[in-house]
Amino acid sequence: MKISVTSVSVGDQAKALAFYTEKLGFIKKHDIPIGDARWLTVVSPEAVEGVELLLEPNASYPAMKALKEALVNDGIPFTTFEVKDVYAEYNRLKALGVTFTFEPTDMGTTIVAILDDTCGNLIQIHQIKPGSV
Amino acid sequence: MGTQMLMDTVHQACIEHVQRYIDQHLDEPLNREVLAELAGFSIPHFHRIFTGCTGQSAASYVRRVRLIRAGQKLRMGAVDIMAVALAAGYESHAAFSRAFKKQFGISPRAFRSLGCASATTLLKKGSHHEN
Repeated sequence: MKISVTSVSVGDQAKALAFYTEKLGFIKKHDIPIGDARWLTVVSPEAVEGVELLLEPNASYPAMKALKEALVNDGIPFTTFEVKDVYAEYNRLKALGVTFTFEPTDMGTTIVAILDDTCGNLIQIHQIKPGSV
Repeated sequence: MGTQMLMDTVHQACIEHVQRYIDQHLDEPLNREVLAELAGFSIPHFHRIFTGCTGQSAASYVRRVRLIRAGQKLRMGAVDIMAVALAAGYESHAAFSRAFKKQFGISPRAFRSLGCASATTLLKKGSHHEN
């Protein structure tokens, strides 16, 4: 068994695709109509055959809506993506107009920052410090 | 009476705009000059309106939100409390610790040792305290 797909909860898939590709730099992998929605996934350009991120249109499902709001209210990220350099990525994304809820912070083994994906989620980016793991 | 209600509504919307700006620009200068200009008021008028709408001064609101962000970093395990203090606008570990303990009832070091659920509970309680 292997992990080939993970997901982030979104409402407007087109808006999510724009953010995750134009801002975060992911590449669209699959875009398959399913009823009123799309099986819409993106991948990292560093791993185009790797794990896909599904932009899952379930934000209006009552339990997911409550979860997303609670996570945002408590400042807890929905998921985390690894980057080589959190400070460089932070500066790049800030220049693109991305809002951060907190700036790069040293957590010991990692450096993290948290951004608003404009789709109702806080997303963490993290960098593993050399020699940590 | 209708005019006063309209003014109150406009003021409330204006202050909510300022609060959103503060929440999204915590690591930028947020002094009264900046915030009053953002609201389109003179400094004294901005102070009266902000305090009237929120029950606290803009400076207190900014301090409180910065302390909450500091708490979120400690909850996640930030190792350098001095760096967290500086980012929150405090020039010394001692000043930050005093303010943090006043807000959340616990020192930053002890807070960092809490589990996520306990820390989140304190952050929520502290978010309602005056600083």
